[in-house]
Amino acid sequence: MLEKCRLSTDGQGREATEADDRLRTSEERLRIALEVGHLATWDWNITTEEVSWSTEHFRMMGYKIGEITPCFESWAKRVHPEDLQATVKALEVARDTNTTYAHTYRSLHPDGSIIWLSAVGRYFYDKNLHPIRMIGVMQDVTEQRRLAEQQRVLVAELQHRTRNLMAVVQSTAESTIKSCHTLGQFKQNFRERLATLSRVQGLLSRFDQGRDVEFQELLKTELFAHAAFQEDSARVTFDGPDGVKLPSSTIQMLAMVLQELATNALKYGAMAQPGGKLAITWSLDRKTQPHRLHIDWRECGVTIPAQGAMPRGSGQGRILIERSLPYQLNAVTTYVFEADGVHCTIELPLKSQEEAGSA
Amino acid sequence: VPRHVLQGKRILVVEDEYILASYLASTLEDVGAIVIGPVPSIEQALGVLKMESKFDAAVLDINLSGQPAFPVADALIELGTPFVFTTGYDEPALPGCYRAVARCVKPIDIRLLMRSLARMVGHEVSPGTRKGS
Repeated sequence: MLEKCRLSTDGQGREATEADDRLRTSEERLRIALEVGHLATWDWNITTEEVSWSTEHFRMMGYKIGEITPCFESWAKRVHPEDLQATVKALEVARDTNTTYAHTYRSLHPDGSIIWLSAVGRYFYDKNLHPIRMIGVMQDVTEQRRLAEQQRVLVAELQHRTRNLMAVVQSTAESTIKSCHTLGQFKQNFRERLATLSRVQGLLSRFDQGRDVEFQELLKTELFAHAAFQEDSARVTFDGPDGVKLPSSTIQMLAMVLQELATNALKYGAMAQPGGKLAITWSLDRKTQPHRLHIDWRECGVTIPAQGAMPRGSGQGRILIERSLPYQLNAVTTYVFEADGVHCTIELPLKSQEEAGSA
Repeated sequence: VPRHVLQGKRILVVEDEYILASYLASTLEDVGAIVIGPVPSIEQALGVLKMESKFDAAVLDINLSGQPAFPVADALIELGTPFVFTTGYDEPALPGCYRAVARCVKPIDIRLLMRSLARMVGHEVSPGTRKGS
């Protein structure tokens, strides 16, 4: 490039005109490439202290085009104070060791915004090895930094979630062992609970994609995991509003509760007996803050087995409903064996995690 | 059967996840400890600490519904009650004053946790957590 510059200034005659054209074409090409790549350039004549910036350079440093005459000071003024020393040092090291200057720093704009800039440049020297010029390009990497930070947060969240999940698996295994008589029983119960957990993970991952999980969706996901609920849909009625969004803190617990209710209905309740029916209704009470979700699970047409005839293990769902829900989510619950089937009510405050924390 | 070192000891359990809380509680009860709680929140834990101040040790989840459990930790240190932090995080940014507190990373190795508690109540002298206060 330096070569061409000399040509253009010394240019005379036809040869020079052709060279001029070539240069113009090549400069145009370079300009377009820089523009498309959102690259800023600077050219610093160290001997005369003159600096020229491309338009992108003005923008990246938070100046209007031509607002100031570029110089070291106008640059330094917009480098984040915390990064200035290290950036100047990086420049000096590159100058003194004749190496490429490559440094990422922040620019602090007058409106308070912070832009991350990644700069690469090199010094040119005279015969006596005095630096005379420095040229470089610079890229706005704010978005990359943001994405990298987001990734870091996601990885931390993933680790946290994995650990917690392992803890839940561990204690689920412990409690299933306690509630089972035989290995066969354990196998079946544990498998069902693990399947629930993995479905919940699927639903939770939607939060990462910025999607809400609605109660109706969770309910149907849990119930329709069992073929019987789909095939025998005449027995089951659903009645409640759409659009009841669940805070992420409630999803896992609620899914496990629905799963236990569904399993019990399939084994001993409305779905196990020919005349059995199940009505699930829900509503959202907006009068209170936070809003409260009312869930009513009513089985009927069921012959309740005699006291003591209920197999062990069916108590797990009851513990979840009567103890876990109130403990963990401040829910108010009832679980009653009516004459013709189970009746369970759940009143759940839909508090978001943040609200729960500040309460 | 030899008497377990935790037998008859009063252990406060603060954990917001019910499954874990009840698992901890039942494991402690299995060796004869007297479980206080479990309680799921900072408010309830502080409430219990205000009501009864005689504890031999505590298990404290570091993150209670997204809130750091430090107020509870401070109250325990004030009372001179030794405790174990349980945590789901690789928590590097724990304030320096809690550096001396034992930690159990989730999923909890229950044997390690029990050993930690046993060590704490085994010594009649003031707990190592004192150093931090």
